[in-house]
Amino acid sequence: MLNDNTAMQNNGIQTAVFLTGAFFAFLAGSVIYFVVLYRNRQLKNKKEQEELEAAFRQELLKTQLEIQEQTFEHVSKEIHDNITQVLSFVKLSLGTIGNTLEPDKKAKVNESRELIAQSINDLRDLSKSLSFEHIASLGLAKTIVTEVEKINKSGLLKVSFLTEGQSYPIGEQQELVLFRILQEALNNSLKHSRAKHFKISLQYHHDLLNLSLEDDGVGFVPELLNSKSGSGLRNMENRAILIGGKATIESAPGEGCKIRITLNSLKQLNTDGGPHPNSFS
Amino acid sequence: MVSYKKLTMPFKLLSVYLSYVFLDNVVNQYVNAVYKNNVWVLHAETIANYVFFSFIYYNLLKNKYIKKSILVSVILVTIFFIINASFLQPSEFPSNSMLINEILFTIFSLLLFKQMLLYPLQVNILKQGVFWFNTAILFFSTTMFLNFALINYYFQQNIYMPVLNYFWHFIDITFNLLLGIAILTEKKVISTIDAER
Repeated sequence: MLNDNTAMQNNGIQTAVFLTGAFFAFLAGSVIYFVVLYRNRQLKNKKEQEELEAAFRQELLKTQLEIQEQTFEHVSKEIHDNITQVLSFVKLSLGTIGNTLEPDKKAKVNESRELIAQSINDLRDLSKSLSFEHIASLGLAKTIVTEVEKINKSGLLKVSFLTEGQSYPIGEQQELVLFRILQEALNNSLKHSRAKHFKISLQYHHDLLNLSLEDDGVGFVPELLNSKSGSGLRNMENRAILIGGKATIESAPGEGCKIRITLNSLKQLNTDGGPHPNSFS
Repeated sequence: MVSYKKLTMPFKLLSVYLSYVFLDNVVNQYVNAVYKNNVWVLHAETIANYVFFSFIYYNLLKNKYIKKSILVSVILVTIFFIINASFLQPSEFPSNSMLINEILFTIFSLLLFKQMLLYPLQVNILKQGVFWFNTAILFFSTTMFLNFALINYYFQQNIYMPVLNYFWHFIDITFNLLLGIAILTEKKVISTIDAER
């Protein structure tokens, strides 16, 4: 009788241990599964949030570029239609006055007329480089040539421009953005790099377009890209992303700066939107 | 007590609950020693447990229908518990009330886990007091079913199993330990947020 009771107790303990073990294993498994699920959700949410932030930044950049282009267009028109017209009128007036003056005074007036003529030309060039319509009508390569000539004429920097491959249109908006990146890089070289030479290379491949910009200036530490003062460089990267391209910026102190923009031209040709000059959407 | 002020409402309630548990245990021991029967203390404890945890879940859950349901359930369940204590199990262990408690707590904890999955925070889950609190409730509520089932089984088989008493204590200690972790981690999360500000 006593043995039966002990056997029953042993069986009972075994059952209890088995049930409890199974139960705790299930409970622990459920909690671990929940933790894993939660972690996945966290990662998914984080990714979605980052995508939303990136989309927001892109939208912001688009708006900034649209405003910038509108402003450039306005300034370009003002220079072309107003300031150069007034200067042309002044030049004509000086010519009329000069005819009535003595030879030595006439020479001085002619000098002034030449200076005004030079200013008119410079302003026209500036107006053209600001105007979307001008860039769109000339195309990227020719616009770059004009810009290179302008800089070389100033003597501030020696700029060389090389094209490879058969040029093809990649879309007005894409060309404009690439040109603005070029202008930003040139501006950086003139203002900060103390560079003497600037190389521009535009390579047209079958499905790829490369724009390389290289100077021999003082360069900078790569960390600058992530700092506040590197916002202009980051802006170039963002602009490249905006048109579906990719910008890589390489630099080191004393080794100049190299910017390379790669664009899938086939993709761009397919996705090129409407002809509205100031729209990036 | 200084940390208490920094806690959010559900965890303030939880801190009060832990203090109450300590007092309840003292009263329980005293009544058991003096009257040799602590059933009425257990009935009161069951009601208090439900009210405390319901209000904690009321503060933690966001869905307004669930919140309303919790408020209604507090009234209905309390009435039932009083009826149970007065008429159904007046001098017995309040198993009816406890079973209802555990069923509802299991539902609340599953609802809170669902809510956590729907709206995950960008904080490590092991550093979230809510997770530890909810795990404690799920652990205690579900383990109680097993505990009751084992007690019933051995009672019907007329087998005395002293190990079940230890099992009960183990559940109780683990439960309170998890609640302690919940309060500590919640405090840390709040401190981190304060530091970021």
